[in-house]
Amino acid sequence: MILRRGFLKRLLALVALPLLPATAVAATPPRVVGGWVLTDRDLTEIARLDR
Amino acid sequence: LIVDAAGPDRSAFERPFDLCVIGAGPAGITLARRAAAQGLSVALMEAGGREITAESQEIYEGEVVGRDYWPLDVSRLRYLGGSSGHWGGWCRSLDPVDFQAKAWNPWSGWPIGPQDLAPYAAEADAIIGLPPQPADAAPVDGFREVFFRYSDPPVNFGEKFAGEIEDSDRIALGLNANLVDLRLSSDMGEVRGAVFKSLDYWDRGFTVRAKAYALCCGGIENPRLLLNFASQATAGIGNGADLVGRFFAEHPHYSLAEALFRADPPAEQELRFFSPTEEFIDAEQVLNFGLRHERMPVPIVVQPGTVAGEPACDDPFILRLAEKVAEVTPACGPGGTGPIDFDGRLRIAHEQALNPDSRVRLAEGRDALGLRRAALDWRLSELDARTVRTAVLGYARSMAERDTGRARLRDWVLPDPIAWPDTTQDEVAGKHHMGTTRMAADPARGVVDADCRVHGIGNLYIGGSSVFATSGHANPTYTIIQLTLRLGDRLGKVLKG
Repeated sequence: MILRRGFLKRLLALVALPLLPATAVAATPPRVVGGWVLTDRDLTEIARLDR
Repeated sequence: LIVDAAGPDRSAFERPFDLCVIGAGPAGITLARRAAAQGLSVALMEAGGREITAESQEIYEGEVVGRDYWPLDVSRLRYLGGSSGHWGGWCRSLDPVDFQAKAWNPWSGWPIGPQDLAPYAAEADAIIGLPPQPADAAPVDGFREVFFRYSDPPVNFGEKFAGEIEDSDRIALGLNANLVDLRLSSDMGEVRGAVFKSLDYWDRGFTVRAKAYALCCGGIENPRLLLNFASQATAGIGNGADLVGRFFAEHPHYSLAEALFRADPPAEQELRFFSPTEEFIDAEQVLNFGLRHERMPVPIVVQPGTVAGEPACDDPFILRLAEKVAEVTPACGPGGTGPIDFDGRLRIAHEQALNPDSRVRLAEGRDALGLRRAALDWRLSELDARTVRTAVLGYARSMAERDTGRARLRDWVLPDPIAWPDTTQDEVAGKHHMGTTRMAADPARGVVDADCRVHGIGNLYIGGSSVFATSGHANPTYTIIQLTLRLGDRLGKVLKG
């Protein structure tokens, strides 16, 4: 489980603070969400866990 | 020989010299030593003394009329050794790509190439006291790790070479000698004398005569002096094409993003530099840059909201999301402002786009010598903004895809137009003053030719970063030394021939 790795857990904690809902600036990589430059995997993981 | 030109005995400067070098900073001292080593007699004239004084520094006061910038009397030093008295010792040569003309950066391209400066690398290394230059690393995702060398402690050219100059029978160094005019021949094709005064109001001055003259006073002072000397050439000396003072370039320095890094690097890797490959520059049509990847020994603590410029986390949805996604209690409660701790940041120092409207002009106010002060109108352009965005987005994407870290851009980077920080918010610039007497083979495109000789004036040369045709991203001192060694060799051939 990827979230058990401290790095991504910490990253997601920060992304999920006031930053996540901001408008995506770029539709193609690099994907910018709330100022964060994230991979599709990052976003997929966040979305999956938010269900 | 060292003479206080503010004193009663100036007889050392009554004889004609082969070369008169004006300004005893890194460029002027290097040029004087190189010329003397070839047997030339040199008058090396320095406006300041052996120590920094408020009276001398005051001449450097000027106006900042463009982008916010450091006070002009703070960003440079007016004494023996010049601005080497406060440099950080960072050294790197220009990259080969810096010499090339690029269509998206009009006016770019040098009339010389890296092969013209390479022969002076070993001597420059010896002067500055540098270890061998490590090779750049193999590129990854369009970025290659590059390495600076450091003069450690940074060489103060005045302190290092004053003894040698004092013992020299070929160099006469005049201190407290302020250049107040260059007298031209009647056809304005040659300089016939350089007029100096001390800061004593009653001083009537004295003239130094030489076969050739070299102005080595820095990227703001060189154009200020040339523009001031308008009694014969009404637009200023060397300014027939209205280019003196234009193309003022800095190395803009900004923090672009905070970052989380996956792994703790070895201590020696806490500060790393990445530059674009030529293919990246051409594909993205941007300028050269050095992206600084800094792991901070203690976390950078940032209040939510201050990084993003967004409201603090008082949105219940956000809090719910954070709790569910991260399985942690968010650092901030409703309405709270808990800190975010980042591991480091991404900073940039980049080449500045060539812009004729970014310039040094003359202000209305005058200094103690009666010369008009400098007015700095520094301007950044859309190409500068695109370079910054492309650099940080490209590097942050590479970092994410390689899973070495994630970056969060500062809120000023993406909006259009970009909201450049000012000097209250960031370092802004490197105090590197370049381009104001730029080099070009065509007199319509530059102030000096490939030999650093002012177009149209047979015996006037310019040393220092004001001749840079483009700025690259690397600190300028190393290239200044290479260029002035080359100029010294040229003058040796011309004046002895």
